[in-house]
Amino acid sequence: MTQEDQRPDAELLAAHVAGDPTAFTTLVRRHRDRLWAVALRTIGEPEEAADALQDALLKAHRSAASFRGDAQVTTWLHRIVVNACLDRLRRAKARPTVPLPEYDSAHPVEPDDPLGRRELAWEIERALRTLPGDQRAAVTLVDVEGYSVEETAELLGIPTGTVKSRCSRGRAKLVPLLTHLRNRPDPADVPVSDSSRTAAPDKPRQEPDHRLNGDQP
Amino acid sequence: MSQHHDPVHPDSDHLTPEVLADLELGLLDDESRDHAELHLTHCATCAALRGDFAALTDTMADLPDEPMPDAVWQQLATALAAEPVVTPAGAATVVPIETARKRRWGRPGIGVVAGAAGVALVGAIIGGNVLGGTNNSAITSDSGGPTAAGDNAREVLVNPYAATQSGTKYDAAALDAQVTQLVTARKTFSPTAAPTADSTAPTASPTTSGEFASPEPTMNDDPGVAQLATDPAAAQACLEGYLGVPGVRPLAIDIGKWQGEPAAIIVLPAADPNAAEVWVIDPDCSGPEGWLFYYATVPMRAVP
Repeated sequence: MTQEDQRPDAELLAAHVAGDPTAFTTLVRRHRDRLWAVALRTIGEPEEAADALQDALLKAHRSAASFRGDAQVTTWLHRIVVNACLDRLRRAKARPTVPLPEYDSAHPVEPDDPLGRRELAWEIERALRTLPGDQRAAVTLVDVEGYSVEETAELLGIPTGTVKSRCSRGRAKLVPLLTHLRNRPDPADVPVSDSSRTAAPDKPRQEPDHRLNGDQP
Repeated sequence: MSQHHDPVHPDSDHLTPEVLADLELGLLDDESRDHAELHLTHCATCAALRGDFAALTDTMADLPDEPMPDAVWQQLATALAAEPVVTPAGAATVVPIETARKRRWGRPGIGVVAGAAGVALVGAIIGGNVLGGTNNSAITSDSGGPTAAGDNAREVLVNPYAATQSGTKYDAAALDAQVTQLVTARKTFSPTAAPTADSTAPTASPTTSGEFASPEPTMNDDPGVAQLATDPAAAQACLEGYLGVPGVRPLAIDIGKWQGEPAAIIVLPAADPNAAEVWVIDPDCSGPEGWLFYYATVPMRAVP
C-alpha cells in the first residue's frame, strides 16, 4: 500500500490545475465520505446522489482553475455538490424522494445507547428526506454539517435571511418527531438531549445555537 | 430580515413550532419576540418544545456521515480518471512529457502507487531475443497511423502480459482507433487456449511454429527500451504493483511512441465493456518514480 498524499487541499487543487493527473482524485478521495453524506442528505436518494455527485465533481474537475482561493476547498466542493443536487431536485420535482425504511423498533435497547440516540438519528435521517429540497439543503448545511448561516448563504447563493427562513421551516417540521418521542409512554425511551432535559419551564434555553452566533439581524 | 408572526397558537395559546424556530433563528420582530420570551417563562409545554428544538439541532450535529459505498467511489474515480487534464486556458491537454517525468505514478480511481520500483515493464516485450524467427515488420510505423500490432503479423500471444513493440506513434486524437486496432489484432492472433491469469512464468519462448512470432522490434536503436525486453512476469509484477490491483489482465501492451518519446501503451478493460482504459507510461516501470504521460478511457469501436 502507499502512503496517503499529505499535501493540503489547496495545494492538491493547484497541482491539478497545473496538470497533475492524480491530484484531484486524491483530493476527492480525502473528502469522499463527507461529500457523499452531503449529497445523500440533500437529494435523499442514493442513486440520484451518486449521479449528482459525479456531475458535480466532474464540473469541479473542469472548472478548478476558477477557484479563487477565498474559501476553503471543501466549501467550494460542497457548494458545487449541493447546487448539483438542488438542480437535480428541481428537474425531478415530481419524483418523490425514497424514504429510509422504518427503524426496526423491535431492536433491543443497546447497552451503549440506552437513550435510543441511534434510533433518533435514524428517525431524523428519515424525516430529513421528507423536507422540500431547499429546506433540506439549508438544514443539512447548517444543522448537520455545521456551516454558519453566512457560509451556507454563500454556498447556496441566497441571502442569509432566506437560509434562516428555510432552516426555521425545516426545523419546525422536524421537531414534532422529537416531541413525539419525548411523549412516548416509557420514559426510558425518551431520547432527548441533556439540553432539552434541563430546559425547565422557568429556565428556558437562552443561549443561541453556536452555529448562529453573530447572526442575529 | 424579520417577519411578524402571531405567536399564539389559535387553539391552545401555546407557541407554534414555527414561532419557536423563528425565535431561535432571530427571525421574529421585536414585539413577537418579547411576547414569545414572556410566554416561555410561564409555559412548561412551550419550554419543553423549545428544548426539543435544542435536542433536534444537537442530534443533527452529531449525525454520522455514512461512508461512500465502494461502488459509488469506483464509478466516480473512473469518471474522474477519464477526464482530460484541463489547463487554465480551458483546452484539454495531454500531460507534457517533461512535466510528467517529474510526477509520481498513481492510478486515478485506485490511487495506489507502485511498490514495484525498478521492475522492467517492457520485460514482456517480444523482442528480438524471443522472436519466433519470422521477421515481421507489420506494425512498424512512422506514419503515426494505427498500424496496430498484428496487422499482418503471424504472432500468437499466449501471455496477457507479453507486449508487442510496434513503434506506433500514438496520439490522443486517434487513440480510440489505434487502441481498437491494437486490441483487435491481439485478439485475432490469440491462441485458442486462453492464457491463464496466474501466468507468471515466461511463456513467450520462440517456437518453430511461430507461436510467439512477433513483429520486428523497431526501437532497438533505443537502448533504454531494448534493455528492458526481458519477460512477461516482470511486466505483470510491474503492472500489478503500479495499478495496485492484482489480477488485472491487460488487453494489450504495446511499445510505441508518445510525443516523440518511447512509451508503453497499456490497455486495460474498463467498467464499460465497450471501452478500455489506456495508460501511456514511460517504458521503464520504475515504480514511485515512474512517469505517466497520458490516461484516457476510450471507446472500443467495432472493427468490420
